[in-house]
Amino acid sequence: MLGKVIALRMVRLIATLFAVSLITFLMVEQLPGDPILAILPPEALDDLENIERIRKELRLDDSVVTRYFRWVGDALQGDLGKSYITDQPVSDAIKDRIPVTLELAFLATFLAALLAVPIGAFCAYREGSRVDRIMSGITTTALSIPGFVAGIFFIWLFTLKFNWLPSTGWNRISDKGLIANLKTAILPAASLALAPLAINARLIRADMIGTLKEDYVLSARAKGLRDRYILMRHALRPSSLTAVTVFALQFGGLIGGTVVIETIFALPGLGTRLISGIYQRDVMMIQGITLFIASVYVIVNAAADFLYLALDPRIRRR
Amino acid sequence: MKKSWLKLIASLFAFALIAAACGGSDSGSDSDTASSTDKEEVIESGTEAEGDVDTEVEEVVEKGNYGGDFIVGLEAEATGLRPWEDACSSPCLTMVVAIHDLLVQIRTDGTIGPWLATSWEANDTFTEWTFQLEEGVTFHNGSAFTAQTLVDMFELQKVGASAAGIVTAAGLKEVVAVDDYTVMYVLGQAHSAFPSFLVQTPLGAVFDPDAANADFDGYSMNPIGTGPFMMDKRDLDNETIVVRNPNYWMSDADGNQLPYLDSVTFRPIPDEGTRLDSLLSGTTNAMQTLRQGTIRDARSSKADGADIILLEFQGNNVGGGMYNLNNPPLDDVRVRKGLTHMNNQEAVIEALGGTGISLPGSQWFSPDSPWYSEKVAAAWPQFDLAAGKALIEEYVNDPERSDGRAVGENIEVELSCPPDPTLIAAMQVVEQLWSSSGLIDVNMTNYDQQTHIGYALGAAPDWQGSHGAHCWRWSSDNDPSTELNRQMAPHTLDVAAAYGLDGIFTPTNFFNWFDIEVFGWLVAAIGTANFEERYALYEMVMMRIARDIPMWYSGHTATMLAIESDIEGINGWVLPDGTFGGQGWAVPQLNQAFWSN
Repeated sequence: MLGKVIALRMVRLIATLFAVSLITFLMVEQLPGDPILAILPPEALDDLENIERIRKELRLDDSVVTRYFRWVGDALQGDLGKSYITDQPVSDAIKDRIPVTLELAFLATFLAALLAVPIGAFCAYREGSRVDRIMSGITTTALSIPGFVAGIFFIWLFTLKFNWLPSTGWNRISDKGLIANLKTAILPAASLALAPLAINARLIRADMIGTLKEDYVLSARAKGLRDRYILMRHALRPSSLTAVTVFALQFGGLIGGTVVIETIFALPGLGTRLISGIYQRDVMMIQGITLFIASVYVIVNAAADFLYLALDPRIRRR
Repeated sequence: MKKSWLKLIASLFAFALIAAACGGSDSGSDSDTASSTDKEEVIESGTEAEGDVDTEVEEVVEKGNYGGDFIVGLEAEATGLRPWEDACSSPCLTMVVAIHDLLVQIRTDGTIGPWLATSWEANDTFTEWTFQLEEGVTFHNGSAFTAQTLVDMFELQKVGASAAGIVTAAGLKEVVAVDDYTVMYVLGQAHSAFPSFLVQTPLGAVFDPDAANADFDGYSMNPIGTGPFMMDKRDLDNETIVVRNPNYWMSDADGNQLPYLDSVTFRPIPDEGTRLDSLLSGTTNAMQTLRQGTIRDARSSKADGADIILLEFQGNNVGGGMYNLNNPPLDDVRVRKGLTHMNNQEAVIEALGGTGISLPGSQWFSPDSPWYSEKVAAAWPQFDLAAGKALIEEYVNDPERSDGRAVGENIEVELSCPPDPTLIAAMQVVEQLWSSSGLIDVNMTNYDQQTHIGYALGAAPDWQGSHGAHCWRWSSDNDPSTELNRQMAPHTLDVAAAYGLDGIFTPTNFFNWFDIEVFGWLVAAIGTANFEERYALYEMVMMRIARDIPMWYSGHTATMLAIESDIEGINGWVLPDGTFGGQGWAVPQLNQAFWSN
């Protein structure tokens, strides 16, 4: 039974990825104008033979259907093609940049979890108090501030006013060590973390309020256990399931959500490359990175689905 | 416990509020005040902006110091560092010229001076150009630079995505090594300004052809030139580090070997605000921009006490919009002229954020250019709403009107600009002015930059754009022939054939307008080296443009390099013959830059 469900989900996953590839390809294909124009400077457009030679080299004179199936066929073998602009293989571009984007997403998730758990737990513990109301206001505010606005504010505060952290650039751990790396990562990660932090603090608070009213918690209190112990050992674990699931899904979203933040902080991640690709009309790069981000998102969602299947028998029976 | 939480939150709020209160406004300063206080501190090395800034290029009087790193914030990552292959804009040029030397250099006054080529001369018909080359120059990998290098480079340039078009435009047929240090460029037609093509990187930047042939795609990551700096690390979209070339061929006036700096780091920072903030915070030491809004903010920051120098430049490049004559009613000169009359240039420049920064345009040349003409400026249709409306009215009421609409019916015009906020603001000014006549239905569209260009260019095989009134930029500080001859050639093969110019065709005649007289003047202008004769011919071309296809101009493109105040030698660099180069189009010349302390 479980095998059949998993097989069905796998078919659905493959169909989704196929749809993603088709939509990505067609969207880029629909952009008006000739991709050759992006490759050549205006002064080079007078040489028509050269234009046609390049078109043939890039096999742009093939039909849309041929080009799509060639692209998908190559992608299935791990070859996402070569950038029309730089000649760099798209898979190399992704490989070079994914560590930056992944680190940002991990760090943002970690920061959000680090703060959301104690804030949510404390607000639940002090439900209805002034602190709870203030924190509720703060999380609502944090939720309504777009990451790029927070990023600009952080640059203004921590770079221009205090000069504590660099505003741009990325120190790779392999080149300059962890501390130097964190100096360049912390502001963009904090900008990204703001929304997940707020959402998860509220989720944990809501879940924990329910948990704190459970009999076993009341029993623990009656035994005279300390509040902190009850919160951490008895209430937090059962209240974290929803938040953990949401964190997992948010992580998938963050891979694509770093686009604007990477641009503002000039970080060499996937988002920056995607934006450059769009500006340069680098068709293969746009298609490849979009497909990659969409695939990550779809696969993370599928993984969450499988996790549910494993944890909750009711879903298996549906 | 409750109190400690409250204290923490209160402290954080207080911290943020104090920080906010302590800081001055970076962007909110009154721009008029800023520009007036900055007037004496902004160094403008190109065109004088209404006489309100110091335009003198200053000679470096301090002695150069060796050592130090220099970090430059670029507008974007370079598309590639293969001069013959990759389309190169300001960020790419900045890197390419740090690694590769050019054969000749353009000064900010538009004249061309020596660099790797020490001297040159043409035959009487301007079809053969012979260049003497600097001796003893080596590439970063130790191989020698000789005339044969240029011959071998040409094999790649002939088919290079970027260079091939320039080879065609220049009419370049062959490159011949006369001896080790003498090279001849053979053209298929006369061109009295041929060296101006060697100022451009696709043809003029000297690269090691053996290295390029050995690894065509990989050359971008490991370029080999003869330039002052050698590639050390290329981390795409993050930083590119180049280090001092210990065997660089140039020396300063005292015989000290150049360059002075140990290394240069190029950082692409696409966001304009962040790029400026990075300079102000010391994360970088210099930044480039082509945005008037950023120039205004930099002026503001300087007025607020930032210790930076602004090297502003505005040359011949001019913005505005053009008309596609294939698209009625724009095929009628009354409509074109009427629309241009209704362009309030001052309001458009203000909407672009260029008031006090960008000089109003009336032709392809700025007032400081040797090619500028007062006669053309007077002939160009100035803002005159009533005159514009009268011309449009005449067309609207003409029973023979070309757009097929009924007499008295409004004309419809598509007005298109790329989706930049300032361009959209300017576009809205133009739209309001045109619509206010009650005779024009304006359809505004925005496409990204590449699509915008593609829209005007059309597609193979006809290359006929379907644009209407289209935002655009024209001209450069290079010789007028490099742009005009290309853009004023026949726009279809049929048009060419009709005038006996079989095979002469350009897809970059975005106006879809051809005038055989203009074409003749342009050909004549590259058949003589006499400046007065050439000036008269280009003046006639500009007069005809003002009469027949009067673009609506906004202002000349202001560009800026902002640098920390203790870096020297960027504005006052000299050519090997001792003449000043000066800081031009937002691309720093770094081979003579040094830290003053």
